Amino acid sequence: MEIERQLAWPCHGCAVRATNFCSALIGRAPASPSAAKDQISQVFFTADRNEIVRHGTHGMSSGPYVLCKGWAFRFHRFQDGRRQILSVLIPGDMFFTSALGNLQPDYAVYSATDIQFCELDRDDIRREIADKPSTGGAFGQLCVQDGDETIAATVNFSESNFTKRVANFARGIVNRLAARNIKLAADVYPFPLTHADIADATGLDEIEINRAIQFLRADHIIDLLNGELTILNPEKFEGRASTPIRHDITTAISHSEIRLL
Amino acid sequence: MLGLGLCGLLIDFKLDRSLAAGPPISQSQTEFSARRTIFHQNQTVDNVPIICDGWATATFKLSNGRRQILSFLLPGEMITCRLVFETQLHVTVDSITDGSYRAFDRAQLRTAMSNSPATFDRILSAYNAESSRADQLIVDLGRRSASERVAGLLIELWDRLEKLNKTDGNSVEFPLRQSHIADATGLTTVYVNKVLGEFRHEGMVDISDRFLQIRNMTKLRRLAA
Repeated sequence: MEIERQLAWPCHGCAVRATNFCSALIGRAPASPSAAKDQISQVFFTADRNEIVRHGTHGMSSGPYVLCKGWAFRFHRFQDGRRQILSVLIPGDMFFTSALGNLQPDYAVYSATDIQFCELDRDDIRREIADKPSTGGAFGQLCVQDGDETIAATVNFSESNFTKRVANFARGIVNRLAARNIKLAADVYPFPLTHADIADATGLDEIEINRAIQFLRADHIIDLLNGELTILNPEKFEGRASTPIRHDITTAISHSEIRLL
Repeated sequence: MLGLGLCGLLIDFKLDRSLAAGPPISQSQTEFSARRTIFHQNQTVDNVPIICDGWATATFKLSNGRRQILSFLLPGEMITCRLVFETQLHVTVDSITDGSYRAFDRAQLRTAMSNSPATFDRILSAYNAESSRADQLIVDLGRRSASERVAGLLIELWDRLEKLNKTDGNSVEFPLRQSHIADATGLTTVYVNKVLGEFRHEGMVDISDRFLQIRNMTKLRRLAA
């Protein structure tokens, strides 16, 4: 793994700081480029498809981390090579929060694109959470949001229509991107995930993902192309439209049964 | 239930000087009967309940009418760590057996979290364990086969019960029905019955008369890994 350390503090020009946990730590608009020095230990840069945090050990440094730029995954890898993506990390997300309690991670973190991330000073963050009600509240909110996203991912597995399952997955990410003001144009969002990534996040296989995306494109709901997601029909995408997403329940159920057998 | 993690720390102030300096945390104990709903999804809960005795489930209702058990709640565990930070409960809590819970004042608990590094660590540890179980559920539902899911659940419960000194040799009291296992693993009761039958046939596990016996731990752990 190639990880470079960077000496300049990136917070001054950060586009997502106002919308994530960092705003509770260093404010929405630090006065100078050096304002974040107390809370941030190190800044790192790495290319896509690198493992940042290894299962059961973090080795590199103490953490926790905040993803400043780029996308990453939290995932579980089986001994036989299978993997399950637990969550998709977008710019502004904090990860490896278990480091606050000096606990080992039960997962690994992998860069999906080139990324820049900061290591926060564990002792300083603990002190801030304990002493400042606003930071403690922001940490609580972070825990609640993480919990909501985990439940949404869990509940999505009960969706036997795999087109709906993919749409739910995409909607969850789009809602998070919108909350961070991360978009390329009106109704166009960055979406640098491969079909294999989406399959590993939704419990489907690449053939099902390919078909689901074709259905969603043919029904003019969304289009996924060249790392971008375009919402073609916001009402249908949000599940508010009277015409439901195309039904493919028979295929999904039979495939699921085959997998279990 | 003194000595069980957070609960012990909050009740027995001698364990932490930082807590002993402040006023005692308000708390009340409530008994519950088996197979009752203790808290409803979206209910406002003014305090932070910790299970003292008995088993319960935290479940989420699905749009298809089924329910997903997100976790089994055992003695010494918070219903959910989220209640330290928010008042609205996102799950339904149902009892499996008779039992009781102790409810701690939320504001005082948060003050204790600020004043006592040990309390902070225990809440963080509980949050981490809850997140870890939630991650495992995603792995189960996303990529594991039926037998891997059931084996994983049995191992997870065994390890948690062992920490509570509830196991005896290779057996432990086990009040779950096959419907609980089905709702926790995303399988049907018919499938769970088939998998448990295979486990019994292979000499790995036996569940009868509300007791779980693990006859081949190595094999079961290998399947659950």
